[in-house]
Amino acid sequence: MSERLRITGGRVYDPRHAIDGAIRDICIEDGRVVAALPGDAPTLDAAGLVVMPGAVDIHSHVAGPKVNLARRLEPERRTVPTVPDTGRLYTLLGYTTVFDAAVPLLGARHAHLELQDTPLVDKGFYVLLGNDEFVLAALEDGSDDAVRDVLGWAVRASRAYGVKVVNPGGGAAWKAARGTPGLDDALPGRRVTPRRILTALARAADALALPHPMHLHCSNLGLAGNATTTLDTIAALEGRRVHLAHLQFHVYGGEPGGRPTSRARELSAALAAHANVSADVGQVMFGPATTMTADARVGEMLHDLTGRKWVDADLELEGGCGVVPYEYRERNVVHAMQWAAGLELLLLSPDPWRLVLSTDHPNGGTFLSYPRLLRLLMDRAYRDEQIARVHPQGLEGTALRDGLAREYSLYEVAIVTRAAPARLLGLEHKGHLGVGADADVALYAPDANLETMFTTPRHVLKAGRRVAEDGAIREETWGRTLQATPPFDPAVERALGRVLAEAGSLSLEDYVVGADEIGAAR
Amino acid sequence: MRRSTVDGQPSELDAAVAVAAGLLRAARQPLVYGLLDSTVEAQRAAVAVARRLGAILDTPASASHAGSFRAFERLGAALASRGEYRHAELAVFWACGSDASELAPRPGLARVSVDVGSARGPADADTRLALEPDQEIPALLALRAFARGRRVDAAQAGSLPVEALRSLARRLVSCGYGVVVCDADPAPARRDACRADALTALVRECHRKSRVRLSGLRRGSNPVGAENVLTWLTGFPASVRFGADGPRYGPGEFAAETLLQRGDVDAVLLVGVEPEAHLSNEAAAQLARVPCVALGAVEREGARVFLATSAFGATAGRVFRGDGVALRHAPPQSSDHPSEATVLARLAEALAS
Ligand SMILES: [Zn+2]
Repeated sequence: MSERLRITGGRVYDPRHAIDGAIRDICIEDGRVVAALPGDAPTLDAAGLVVMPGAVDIHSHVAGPKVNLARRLEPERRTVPTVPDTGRLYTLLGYTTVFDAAVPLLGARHAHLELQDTPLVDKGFYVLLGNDEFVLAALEDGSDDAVRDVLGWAVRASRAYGVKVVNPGGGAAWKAARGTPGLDDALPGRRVTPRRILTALARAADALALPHPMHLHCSNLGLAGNATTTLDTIAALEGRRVHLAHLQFHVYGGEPGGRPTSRARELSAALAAHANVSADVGQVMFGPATTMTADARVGEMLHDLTGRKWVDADLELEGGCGVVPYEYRERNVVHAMQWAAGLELLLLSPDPWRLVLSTDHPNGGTFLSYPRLLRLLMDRAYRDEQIARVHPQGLEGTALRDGLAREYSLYEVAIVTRAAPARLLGLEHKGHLGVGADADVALYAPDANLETMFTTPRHVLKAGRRVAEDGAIREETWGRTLQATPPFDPAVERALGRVLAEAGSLSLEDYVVGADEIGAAR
Repeated sequence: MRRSTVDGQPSELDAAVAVAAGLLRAARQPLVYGLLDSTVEAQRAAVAVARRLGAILDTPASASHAGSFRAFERLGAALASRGEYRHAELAVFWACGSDASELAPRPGLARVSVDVGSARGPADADTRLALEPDQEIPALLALRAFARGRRVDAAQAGSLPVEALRSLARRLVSCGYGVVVCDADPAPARRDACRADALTALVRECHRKSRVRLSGLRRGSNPVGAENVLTWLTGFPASVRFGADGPRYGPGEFAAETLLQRGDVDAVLLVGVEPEAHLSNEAAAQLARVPCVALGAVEREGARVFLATSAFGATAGRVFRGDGVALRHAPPQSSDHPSEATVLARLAEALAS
């Protein structure tokens, strides 16, 4: 028997269909939105409620080796929830789809084990490439076709949804000799440059028609003056599609080695000028955070800065990761600048369809702070109060000083949290409520305090099931693992096998995640 | 084919599972213990059973690996997957050998054995350094001081082989890539609470100037799987109590050894473990007095209920290598017996009904 539900009388925000708060019924049958239902179908009264598609997190860290190391590092559970809680807490905010942004090839099996145990949400990850022997060897041989096949193989073998490139070549150089190569510097002992890695992988992602373009964490994260690197990177891509991860961490001015300042205005202009580029903001939120990154240099830098505990792990034939607990403080001048730079990017954003929400959970703060971030964007009076609290020097030169008046509308919020991330991910059935869409829906009771409103949806539906109500899970369902299935020439496996035979402790089959290793464990 | 048993009498699996469920449900404070020689699938299923029972869940690592857990929570870690060791120019075996072929004798790799009392490193090491057990921690602290470029005064030095330690520290900070191998599941006599801290701090210090990683040798088939699965499902690597307010961590407090010694548990479910190999005689004696449900390939004498399963080696599933890499275990021959995971899932169902 088919399951039906009619959500009646709500104010619907569905930017993909240009619906901006119109009163509409949403009809659901067997987990999908349908055009109409028989009159006797069960109803959910949404009168007075705001109805949005389930939200989509395009960049988070929720599964795999480094996330689990972070959980062990902080048994006091400051910022990194368990796997079951990750699914529940996202759902309780109205998020129904989540992507982990960085899983190494060798960590794919582990990441899928955790995703299998993650309830409620649909989920997936981007597999890391660009500091690994496989891509570097293929580039050394000089063939972009070979890189394309490595990428195709890697996505298929790891059952990933997309590809993530972190500090291209820089991870390998750091590991080999703590090098920090510029875009055109050859890596130690190689003829390959970061520019070559970057462009070859962007081209390969395009050629394979991956649903999401190359997801790029640019070089020099967190360093003064890195805005130049980011601008150079955009130029190097020559119009090819790219998604820039946590852009806020890459918009800094200042002298190398000195205190970073914000050049968010220039990056905003660059976004406006390059329609091929999208980004998530990577907003910093004051309070506890845990930095976890495949950019091992950043881990070491933050450990030196904090003197706190630090996990630093290397993976054979590819990069590694660093995990350091962290805290962002209002009265710290750099943290204040980072907070301001993220808000500048969002408030100056030329196109909400290309700059979407993230805190790079848990790097800039946890995903639980999304409602507060939305209030900062939507409520100028609240924002001004917060601006008055932070270290004034951190605001110097930022557009916040000029008193940005913009307030995001509910329609724009629905874009940056739903419609845009779904579109950037190529998820046809998500981020909207048109006929055929997945019936992932969040219903909010309007509240003068927008943080309150977005913290506790009245109802959350996942694939048509009423899974959460008023801050409590009603039914624990199991979402799907989303994967891409690009083609590759099987001949590439011979080359990969050679790399492994020379230098690995594993065989090629050890990298291949089976079809029976994904999907709900119970 | 081995049969499951109830009170020593052969039983159909379902009937035995029903008795096991009744026994565990009747307990005031059940303990689920083991998960060492179990696949990830079985470890997950054991967590589900423990959660349903409101049990305490623990593994042998709460005793053997306690110092390492604490060092990790205090300081973090400097790790590498095994294949990275091929870069090593220096390997220091701290009172143990290594199972990594990458650290076997080869040109370009200097191998140093530090022998502590009767705990000795590989016999074919290039260099040896002998310490008395009571010199071990002072030697680690001295190494760290030397690695920092500090001096060690006479009072600190005591009877330590200062010159040898100074030279070893120099090699650690000047090598291109070094690996310090230690026993991360030491026998009871070698369970010094400070060793893991001191080793981690030493490696950190050396890593400022060179590239040095710590490799901890583990015992059992899947100890790293157990701590990973427990961590992602409960937040904690061992010694977890499932209460109404969710899982709680009690290192020491919720360790099987402590609970048994205190007589705090009144039923035990054993999964993937031979408990006598990991418990003190007193705790083992107490275990023998507590009603017990045991899963395994070998019948456990004295168990109220024995649930026959395939042996670990004959069970398909996922397993974590000692360095944290998850692999797929595909046995050459499948067993006629159900896996631990299957039996635990049935037990969970019986507990739910
Ligand atoms: Zn990230």
